[in-house]
Amino acid sequence: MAPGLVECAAVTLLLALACNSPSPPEDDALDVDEPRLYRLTHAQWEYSAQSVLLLDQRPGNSDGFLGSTLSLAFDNDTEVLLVDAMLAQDYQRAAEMLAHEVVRNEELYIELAIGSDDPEKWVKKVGKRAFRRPLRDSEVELWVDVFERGPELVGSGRNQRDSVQLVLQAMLQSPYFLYRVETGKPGEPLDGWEMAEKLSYTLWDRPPDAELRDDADRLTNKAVLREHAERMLADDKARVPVRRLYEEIWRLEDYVHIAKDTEWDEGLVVHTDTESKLFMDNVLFDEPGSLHTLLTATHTWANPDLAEIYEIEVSGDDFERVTLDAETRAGLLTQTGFLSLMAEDEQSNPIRRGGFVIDRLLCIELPPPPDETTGVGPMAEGLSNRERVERHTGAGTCGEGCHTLINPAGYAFEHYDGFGGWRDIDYGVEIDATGTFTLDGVAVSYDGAVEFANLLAESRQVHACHARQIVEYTHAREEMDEDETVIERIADASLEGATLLDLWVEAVTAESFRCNR
Amino acid sequence: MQPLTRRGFLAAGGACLTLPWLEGLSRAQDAPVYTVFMRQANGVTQGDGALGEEDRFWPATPGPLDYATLADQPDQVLSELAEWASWMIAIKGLDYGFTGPFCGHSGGGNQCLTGSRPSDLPSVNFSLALGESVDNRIARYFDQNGGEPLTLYTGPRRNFLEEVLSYRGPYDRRAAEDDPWNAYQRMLGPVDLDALVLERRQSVNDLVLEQLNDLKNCKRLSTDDQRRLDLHFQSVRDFEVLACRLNDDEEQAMALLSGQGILNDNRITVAKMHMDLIALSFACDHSRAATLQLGDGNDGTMYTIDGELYPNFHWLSHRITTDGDAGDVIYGAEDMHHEIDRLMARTFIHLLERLDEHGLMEQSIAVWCNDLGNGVSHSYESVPFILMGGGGGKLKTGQFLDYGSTPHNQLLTTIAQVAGVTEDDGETPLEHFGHEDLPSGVLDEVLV
Repeated sequence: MAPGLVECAAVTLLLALACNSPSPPEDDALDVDEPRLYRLTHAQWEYSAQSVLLLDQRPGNSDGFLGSTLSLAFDNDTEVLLVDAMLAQDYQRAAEMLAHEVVRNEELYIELAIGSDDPEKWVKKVGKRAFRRPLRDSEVELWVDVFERGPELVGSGRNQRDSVQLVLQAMLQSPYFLYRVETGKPGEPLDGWEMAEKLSYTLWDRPPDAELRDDADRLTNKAVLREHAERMLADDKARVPVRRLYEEIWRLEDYVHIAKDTEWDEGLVVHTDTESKLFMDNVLFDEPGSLHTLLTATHTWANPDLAEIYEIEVSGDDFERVTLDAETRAGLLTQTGFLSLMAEDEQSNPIRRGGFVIDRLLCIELPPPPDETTGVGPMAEGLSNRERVERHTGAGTCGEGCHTLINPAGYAFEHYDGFGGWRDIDYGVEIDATGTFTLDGVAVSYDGAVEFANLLAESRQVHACHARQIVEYTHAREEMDEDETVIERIADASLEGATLLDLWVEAVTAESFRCNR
Repeated sequence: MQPLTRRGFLAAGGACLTLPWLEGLSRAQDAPVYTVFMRQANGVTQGDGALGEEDRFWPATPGPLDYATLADQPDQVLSELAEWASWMIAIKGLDYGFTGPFCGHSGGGNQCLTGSRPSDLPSVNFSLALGESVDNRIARYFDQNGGEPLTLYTGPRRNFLEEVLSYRGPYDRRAAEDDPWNAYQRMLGPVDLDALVLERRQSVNDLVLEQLNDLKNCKRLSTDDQRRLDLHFQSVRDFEVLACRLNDDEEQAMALLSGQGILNDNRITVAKMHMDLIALSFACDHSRAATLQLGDGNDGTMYTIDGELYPNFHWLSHRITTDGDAGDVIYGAEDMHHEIDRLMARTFIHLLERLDEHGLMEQSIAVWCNDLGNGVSHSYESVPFILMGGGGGKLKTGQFLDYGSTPHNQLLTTIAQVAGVTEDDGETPLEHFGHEDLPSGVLDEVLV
């Protein structure tokens, strides 16, 4: 076998039925576990509609589309991307409006209608844009029929224009436009067209560009696929889709909802979000770094408000790159966004901070907190926050079970107040940010968040957790048992210092991404 | 306003004629009953034994209710609804049936309208109901708006818990609309672009259905893929168009707020706009059932009352500064929770006023429900249900009932019956709603 060719695992299921065949016999054994139907996200719908209609910009209709329910994985999880009656109606309205509008924009219509004197050729061309693959023969016939019914069903008196309108209206509602479908046999690689759109939607939110389309028949070759993945990740179009994973993991959407009952409130709400995005873009794209960088870097971005929290000087009113004290700061865990979200108004919240580390960095599922809740007792001079929390939830209390796991992780951040500012004293008591925590099955000790973040950055468990997150996000579904190999491989690479983008390349060239299951 | 019949043609091809959503087509009802549920989260201040708190929600004793009964007990939340006493059935002592490995709020929210057991897997905040919700059942039965209930929401997104109320069936949660403007645009239907728009739409729908069918016949799809395609298949059709409109000022206000609905400070404003839509939709017989969820699953809204910004409501319901079990004590938390209960009552009144303006109180069942009985203990005991409206003359209004400790699914059965839902024979009133282990039958005292 030529290097880079196929490499899909052998499977026992052999399916002979083509997907276009008339009702095959019922056979439960033909069921597959892995999803093969992926609805476009609203962001993907925008770029896809733009591409079909040859628009200069995204049409924007999806602002009014119905959202989806919460997913167990990430927002692009196919499990929650349903088309119910409300969304079907949204698609319908958008398709009707857009098709009607574009053919009445003379300049646009002329471009859209090029070649429509030959309906067969024209529907093939538009169909390929809409469905991200060449039309099958039976489909060509169907769409020519649709084309020919245009004058009758639009009836404006301009026959050719009516035909174009009807085809566009229908294509924008076709399941082959709205879904990405994987139809091949288990054990075989996705075909080139399926691969092209899967890669492109994953990395760019967009339908495949010309270079991918031109290479479609070579994409079953892993080396070719890798070249494209690297090319695409180096392009600015990857920024928003790739960063979105990190925004979801770090809950950036919540940063804008941070509300603190203090005078700093308004400014901080906006700025923590901006800081984290600038930092993520830097580590992901501008100076490609690793997970280690994300968790330990001392550089970040600050404006005068955040500089006040960091106790540093900045030169102007805008955000600028700054370097923080390596003794007190290490990566996202010590930046203002995380620290102020996972806090009370002004006081730290070790339980929330620790819980985040357990959940989002270690991928450990915690049971829900007990239903009976009580306060940890009032703030008092001579009693630190840590001591109050420990009295309530530590060893010997009813919270012992979970909190012996959560609290030590949270205590590492006790040097940071509710805004993320550094402190040495809490309620008259010297800060104790020491702790012992089990990573990779070994108990490790630390004093403060910098040491803790460095330990996390060296922990295979943390890299494996992030590998799982990348796999779930790039595969647009929850983790499956079969993903173990790729997760292990990405975890290893990550631990050895591979850049985050390299990990993405691994994920989208893995067998689990390329092959039908 | 005259309800109009706007059913056009059926868009479906032959393949879908056996689909369940079509079953309601032949059903006619002389006097439609309209059902709406408004969900508050986090329990109410009805006295949490664990903390020695007292009941500040209910009237002192069960029995008949009138303006004076409620107004004379101004310390109790329900006094806010004194003006509406003659339409009220306040029901205490109804319990949710199931506890399990789900968080209190998801489990309560999932049981509230389904009477079903929440799932063990997914668990915790991701748990799902294992049955259909009553709003869906009513809407499906009458097939108004294509058998779709209105499913509305006001709260943040991408949080611990979002919409929890409405289910098409087991594990099949309905996504809720959080933007009233989007919901309104959808109700108004597609723009009438030209004379042939309906005919064209039907043809396109036929084509889409054919392609969906083609895809469905591909047996290499997973079971979940098939399920998703089934839902899509059932969702492609011509939609009934709302024949009435909001006035210009209302439309403008709604449009201006579009996209801002998820912000904390807009919570009540958005809720009221949703209520305007619900009443409008009922008035034109566009839908028969609706839900409105106020706040996310464990409502963390920071409400403003009398100009004062309150702490996170979920924290207040825990009486401590946390979503979990350990945090600083919030002094005055119970008082603030009580004030939020009152705010919920006043917000509920907005819905009642709109229904009343459309002359719908006699025909309606408006229910103020909750995911919990008490916030602190996350109790499923004595979850408050406040019913308003005549239910088409079938409800015995103006009373306060205390059922002690009775499964709440019987109330759901009662509501479905009053709304006119029958067994499959089309005649026998529905006998059971909710999990099979829960009792059948209705709450007789609620009925005339």
